[in-house]
Parts: sequence; C-alpha cells; structure tokens
Amino acid sequence: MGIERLDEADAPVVSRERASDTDGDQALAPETRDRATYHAEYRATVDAEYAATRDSWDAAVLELRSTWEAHEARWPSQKDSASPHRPDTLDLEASAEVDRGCGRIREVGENVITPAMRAIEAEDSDRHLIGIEHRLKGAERIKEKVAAEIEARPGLSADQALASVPDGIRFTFCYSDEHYVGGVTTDLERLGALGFKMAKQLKNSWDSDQYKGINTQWLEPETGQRFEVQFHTRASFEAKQLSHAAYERIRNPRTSAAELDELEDFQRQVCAKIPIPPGSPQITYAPRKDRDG
Amino acid sequence: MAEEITYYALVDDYSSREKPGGVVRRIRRDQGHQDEAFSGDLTWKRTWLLHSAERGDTMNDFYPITEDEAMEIVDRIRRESRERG
Repeated sequence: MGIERLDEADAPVVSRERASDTDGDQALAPETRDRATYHAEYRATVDAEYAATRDSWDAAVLELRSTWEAHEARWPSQKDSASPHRPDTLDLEASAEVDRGCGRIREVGENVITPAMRAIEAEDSDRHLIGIEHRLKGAERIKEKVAAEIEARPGLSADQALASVPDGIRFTFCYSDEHYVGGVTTDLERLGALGFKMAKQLKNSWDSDQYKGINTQWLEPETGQRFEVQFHTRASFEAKQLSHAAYERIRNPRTSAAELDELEDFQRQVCAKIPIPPGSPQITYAPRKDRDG
Repeated sequence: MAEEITYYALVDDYSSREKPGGVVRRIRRDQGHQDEAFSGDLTWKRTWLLHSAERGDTMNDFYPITEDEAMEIVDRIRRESRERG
C-alpha cells in the first residue's frame, strides 16, 4: 500500500531556529544568559521529543503495514466487488443530474475555490496543501455517495443529496506537530476572512479511536458551492492513507461482519500510534462576527 | 454475546435532531457487527454512512437514540412513504 511521502518542509523547524538563538549567548547579561540557556535546553528537549515521536511513528508504519498484509492474507481480496454503492444504482435521470452537478463543482472549484486555497497556502511556509491533485472527487465516487445517501434518507432527491456532499472539492493542509494548533487556528481565520462560511460545525476527531484529524466544510458565498478542508499532521495524514484500503473494505456490503470487526480493530491500531499534538482536541472555530456578538 | 443493537438518528442538512432524516442501527453479534439503514423501500439495508462519519465525514451527524425513538422514525418514514405514493 503506497503512502504519499511528504517533503522536508514538514520536518519541525525548531532545529533551524535553535541555531540562531544560541549564537548570541556570549553577549548577554548573566540573568539573560540563564534564560537563554534555559530556552536552549528547552528547545533541545522539544527537538528530542519530536525526533522520538517521528521515529516512533515511522517505526509504527512498518509494523502496521505488516499487520495489514497479514489481514489481506487472512481475508482474501474482494477485487470483484470494490464498489459499495454502484453508481448505476441511480436511475438515469438522477445520474444525469449528478453529472451536471459535477460539471458545476469542477467549474467553481477550479476557477474560484482552488485559487483562494492556493492564496491561503502562500501565506505561511510552515505547512502546505497535500494531495491537491486529488481535490476534485470523481463523478463515480460522488454518485456512490449520492446513492448511499438516498438509500439511508428516504424522500431525499438526487439533487438534494448532491448539494449536501461536502467533499466534491476537498483540500488538506498538513502541518508539523508543533505548528498544528496555531497553524490550524490561523488558517480557519484565513478561510473566514476570504468570505467562506463554515457550513457545519468543525469536526474535531483527535479524540476518536477510528480517525485523527479535523474536517470542516465550507460554502463559497457567491455560488453556495460546498467544499471540504481537512487539517492533518504528517502522521495523521499518513495514517489515513495507510488505513484507506481497510475503509474501502468497510464500505463494501459484501464484507462479512467478522471481518468488519477486524477492520475496525486495524483502524484503531493505526490511530493509537498517531502522536497527538498538545491542544489539538480542543480546537474549535466560531466566525469572528459570532465571537464579537 | 447476545445480539446487541444500537440505534442512531441520522441528521443532515434537511433534517434536525427533533425530526431526523433517517435511522441507522448497528447490530453486534458474536460473529461481528453490521450497520443497516431503514431505507426508502421500507426495509433495513447495509450502509457504510455511519463508518464514514466515524472516519471524519461531515455529511451526516449520528446521535444514539433509544429503540422507541428509532421506531418512531421508522413509523414516520412509513407514513411519509405512503403519502408520497
């Protein structure tokens, strides 16, 4: 199973800052020097902790890949039944409606939302958009989602179901652990400042045992087009990729109840290894106008 | 383990906690678990939407409810289905 590797920009920047902090120690007064020494020691501790965290996650990935290979061996492949809700379960009219909707999503996504997200990305080099080449969900996947929604939501039209699909256009910001809380908070503000409206309360899953990260859905104000922005660390993003095949099996109606339990266990094992940035489970968001009354 | 069923109200953009849009149940048995939604053809069918929400998807919210509350939603869906013809 492939995992998208991140570049060096994701490595903690503490070490780069540390060198310049300690260079000026000689010229400082004794009291200040004590403080500087304390800071240097503190930074060294932080460095070591993050290095250990990185190493422990990287080691965990190897172990988890083996666990998944063992699962695949135990539960032979289901290649013949990959699609949980086949797009052709939609009738012709609904399918055509979704196709037209996908065209609209693509147009707004490419002309309005993507340039705005690129502009937000350019404001801070400490994190970046990852997997942006996958920002547009394929029409077939959208149809699967619409079909599943209609089935569980009696009375809902294909048009209504499509309008509430949050991730027809999706973006993922990836942060280093130490910049996660501050970075996410700032980027939420940036999205609001550009006029995007959060369509639903932020979903903070850092306390979940099945998934780690923050997912949000937004509305582009002119068109009302919905889009999703996820906020991850390197480990939580890699974990999502690592457990994607398990999730695909979970979605498959032919997966047995017994295997489902094991798939959930696997997702739980993956999540248990993800380092949790301090303060991340407490991240919330309220638009500025709501806070200011 | 005896069969254990947990019911969830499905709430989306077009519904509310007071009037949920659908109902999902998670059935746990010795052999494993399975999720089902009460569907438009008035039968329980396998669904992955609850798992999807547990994996961060924000399309629907699911709230645990009692069996009685679940049956009220089922009855309403049956009634509305009859009205739609």
